[in-house]
Amino acid sequence: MRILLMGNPNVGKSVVFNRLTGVDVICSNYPGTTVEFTKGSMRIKGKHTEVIDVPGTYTLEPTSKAEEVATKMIREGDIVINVVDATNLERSLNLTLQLLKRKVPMLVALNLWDETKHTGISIDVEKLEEILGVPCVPTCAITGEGIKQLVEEISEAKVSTYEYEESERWQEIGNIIAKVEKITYRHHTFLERLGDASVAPATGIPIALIILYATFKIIRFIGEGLVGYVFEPLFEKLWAPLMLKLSGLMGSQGWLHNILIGKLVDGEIDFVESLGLLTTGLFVPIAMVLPYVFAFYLVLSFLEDSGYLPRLAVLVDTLMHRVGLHGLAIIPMMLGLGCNVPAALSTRIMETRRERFISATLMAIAVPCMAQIAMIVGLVGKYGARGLATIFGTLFIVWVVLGVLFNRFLKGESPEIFVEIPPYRIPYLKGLLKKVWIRVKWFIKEAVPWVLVGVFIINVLYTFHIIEFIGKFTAPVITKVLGLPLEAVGALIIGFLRKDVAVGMLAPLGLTLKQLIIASVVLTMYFPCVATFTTMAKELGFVDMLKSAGIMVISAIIAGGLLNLIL
Amino acid sequence: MTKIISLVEMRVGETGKIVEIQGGHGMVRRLETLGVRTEKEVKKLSGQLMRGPILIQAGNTQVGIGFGMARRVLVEVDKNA
Repeated sequence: MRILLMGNPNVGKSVVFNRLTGVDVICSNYPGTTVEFTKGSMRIKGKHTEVIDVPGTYTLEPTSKAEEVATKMIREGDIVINVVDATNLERSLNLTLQLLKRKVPMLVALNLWDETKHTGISIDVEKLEEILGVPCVPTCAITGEGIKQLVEEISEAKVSTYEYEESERWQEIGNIIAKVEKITYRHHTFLERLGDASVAPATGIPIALIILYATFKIIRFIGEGLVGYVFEPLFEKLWAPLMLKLSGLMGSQGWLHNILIGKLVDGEIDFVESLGLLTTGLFVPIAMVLPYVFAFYLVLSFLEDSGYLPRLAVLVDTLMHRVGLHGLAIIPMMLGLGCNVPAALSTRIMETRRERFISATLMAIAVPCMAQIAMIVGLVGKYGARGLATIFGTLFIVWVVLGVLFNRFLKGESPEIFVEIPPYRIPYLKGLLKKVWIRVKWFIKEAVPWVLVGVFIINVLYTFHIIEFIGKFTAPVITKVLGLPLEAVGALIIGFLRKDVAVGMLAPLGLTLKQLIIASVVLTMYFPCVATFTTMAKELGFVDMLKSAGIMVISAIIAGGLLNLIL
Repeated sequence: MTKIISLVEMRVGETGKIVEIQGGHGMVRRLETLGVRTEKEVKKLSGQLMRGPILIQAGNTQVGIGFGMARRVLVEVDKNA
């Protein structure tokens, strides 16, 4: 048996899914968090049952790719659990009535039930059940209330006999609402007033700047703190002596020594420059990148769960129109700062193919992921803020210039923003920490092995002198146009695999600040890492991916070349 | 006395009833999924500078609507308010 969880965006389907199956999925407070369906399973009366978390949709007449996914899924389910937002019954019923017509056994979960109480809404559940002809269960998925009853009612799911004229749907909904819902007047809460202030331009823009500033400060504080007080001491005091011993046992040389420990610098292990699997291979992802990834996701998850992102989308909408997008495209850009892979997936919330191409390409070219940012900060940061400002300033200019060009020359339309602004919610701490953990776990599982593979390949490349060989071919571009030493080609090769390792490879080359800036910018822009590349190819299709990649290579050479001339 | 103006022309804080949506079937359908449809009472919450989106309250939902679309949603408001 297969159960589908369907409902409007941002009503908490993923939270219900997580409660039913125990499968961890990312849940946030903005419409369009889930853009792909997730499968899980549960046991109902001893029987194995598949549960699918379907992306949210307002209607079965889809308007975006994420909604299309949802509409196609409906044919494959045996039972539909329609999750509705009890505080927004009218809007939710629009989908409910369309689902009823599909004649699938169905039940309704009235989620966010706790919020109806302090928003002055009361719903007559029995009457609603009677009218719709399917079981209705009030739930509060985030705390787990009502989930048990929901599970019990699954076997009671029914095909409704409710009939209505398609053209009269809204009148029907109006009639139902009049019968089951009562709204009592209440005062505005603090969160609602904050909600109004954060979208009014006079207060919203200062608030956005404060949030941006606080975000940077918090990420730096947590990231630097973890690196300086936890991970570096751990590696220097505990791991380094151990590795030196191992190095001594292997006679401080030989190919196995080179691969595991790497080169010793003045008889000591240098965790950045040694380039061994057990030294640099572990130090880079765990001690240099992970603390920042953790800090970033902590802040991002808070912003997601609070409901701030759609408001930010409204504020930046005008800017986004200049680059052929609308405000919601801020979401892939923000996610991209964490990791470009989920960001590429999230471009599905954009309505047209043109917008998806522009947002994915701009994101992949100009938005470095946190792993790469952490390495750039570690490498260039010691020269002061000017170098970092040049790198990130250049990337922002590239983002704007390319976006304006895309907007001018790419055919197709970019529709306007049309987005639900959810109420502010105080993030549920347990849920938030779980989400951070899911993402950190994903990083450890997906990134760390690739870093090790990267470090291994570096050793192979050096051992067989492949880098010098490729270096000769690419010399005109690398040395003449970009002004980098030939060995930098090694970083560019590894950059296809993992950009953090690639930035790390620049460390032993003895580059000047100018060369470091150019190399960091080029490494960000020239091509996505392999994980991002495969995701983008799936999302955009092969031909558009080729176009996108062509644009990346060309713009990286131009931007790097210009920097080489100007700096 | 009432008058008919677009969401763009409404003042922040003003309430009105939607009387017409000047758009094709696709746009009307898209708007109604979030409860923006004729006969509906809406309140304007804010507008952005430089032709940015308009924010309205429709029922219990807050919706951000792009400037071009908002211009084509006509509401009936009290003239003296």
